[in-house]
Amino acid sequence: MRDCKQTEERIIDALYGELSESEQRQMEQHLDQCASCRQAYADMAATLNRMGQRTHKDPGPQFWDGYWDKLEEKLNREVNPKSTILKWNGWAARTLAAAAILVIGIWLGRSTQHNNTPSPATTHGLSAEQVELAAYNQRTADYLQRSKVLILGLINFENGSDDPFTLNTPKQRQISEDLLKMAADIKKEDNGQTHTRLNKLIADLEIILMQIANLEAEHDMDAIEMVKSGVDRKGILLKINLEEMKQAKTSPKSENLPPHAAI
Amino acid sequence: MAEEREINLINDADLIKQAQNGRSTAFKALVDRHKEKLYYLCLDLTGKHHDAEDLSQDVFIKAYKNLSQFRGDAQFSSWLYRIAVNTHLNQRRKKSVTAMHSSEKMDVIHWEGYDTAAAENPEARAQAGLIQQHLDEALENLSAKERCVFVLRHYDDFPLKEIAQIMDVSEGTVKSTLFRGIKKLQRSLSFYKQDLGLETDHARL
Repeated sequence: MRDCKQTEERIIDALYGELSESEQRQMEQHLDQCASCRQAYADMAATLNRMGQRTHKDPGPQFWDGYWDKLEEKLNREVNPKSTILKWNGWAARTLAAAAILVIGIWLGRSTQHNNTPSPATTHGLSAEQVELAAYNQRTADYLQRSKVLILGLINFENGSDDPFTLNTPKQRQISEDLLKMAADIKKEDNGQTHTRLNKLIADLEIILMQIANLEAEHDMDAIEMVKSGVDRKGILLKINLEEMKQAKTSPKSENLPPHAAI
Repeated sequence: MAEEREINLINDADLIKQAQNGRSTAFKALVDRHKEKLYYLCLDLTGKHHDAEDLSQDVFIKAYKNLSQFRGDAQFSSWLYRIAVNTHLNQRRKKSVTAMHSSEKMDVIHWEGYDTAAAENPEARAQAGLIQQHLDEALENLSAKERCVFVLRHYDDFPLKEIAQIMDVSEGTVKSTLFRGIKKLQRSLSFYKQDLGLETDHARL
């Protein structure tokens, strides 16, 4: 009886050849003497033999050829949801990117003429501190929006297309360097308020901007992919949007300022 | 093409490092290398082409998201298999919670009908080319865990010890689950007894 119990425990090892030599000898000896264990073993072996006759249907070359494309689409949807939404919009996204590049050009021109001194708007019923804070917020908003536009242009870029709005790497690098300088200025300014979330976002953005500033060649897709994945991982676009919403809410009467009063 | 040839020469470990550094072509190469085996494992686990496709792609997505956690102390394929088994068992668990009663009743009806018909005329069914369907149905009769263990051992040739690691259970549990599973398969295929020669006493190792 003890041998029968042991045989049952080892039957799986025996069926799949996972017994040591001595264990296998013991089992053979027992099976020679015990008809019931011999039958149990034979039944299970025959079942495995039958199950071994099961075959797979090949889903065909079309399935295998399209496998990566389907997976990539799902990956974009799940891992880079923002970029995919824009990709789906096709022309709309490209038009947005093109417009963004134009706007960056205009802003770049302006950003070289930054004037930090309060404008005559200080006389429009606002204190000097309020105007200073509004100017700070305006510069921060500019910085965030330019960064967003730069990143959107990059994450919507698709290699190999004849897109007339294709990437212009030297220009992107230049814009990134300018934005890095702006970030340094914003960080230097101390208007007596703590901006923990904003400072964290600026620090995250600095890494992304530095990566863009260091793009080496035209259409260096691996490096661009790295930037995209960093943007996604750190949730940069979401954080920019949140910061913009926060600023729109808390900006002290900035609507009282004449247009571009802070620039 | 040249890049494709070049990437085919790189081993999994180096491709994983490159993919961890954000190189998407490296991840694509890993997918190309493992998709077929993974798909067939998923087909064995789910039994349906579309479910297998979805499961295998879910596995690659999870692997992509968690690539930084892959330490390289196991084979990449084993890691994928582990994700596949866990994902499948979780999905089954969720499904069984939402549709517990109805599915159980349907299973019983299905299997009663099937066994009766098979017992009446098993040879005719086999001759009609339904043997593959019978084998698939026998697998369907296993619990999710029994099926996982059986598939990993029988079709993917994983040693019992490795299955224990993949499923995060003891080796003893793997053996008892497998024993139970094979017994169930035996019962499901009992109408083949004569065909299998099980009525004769010819057991040998």
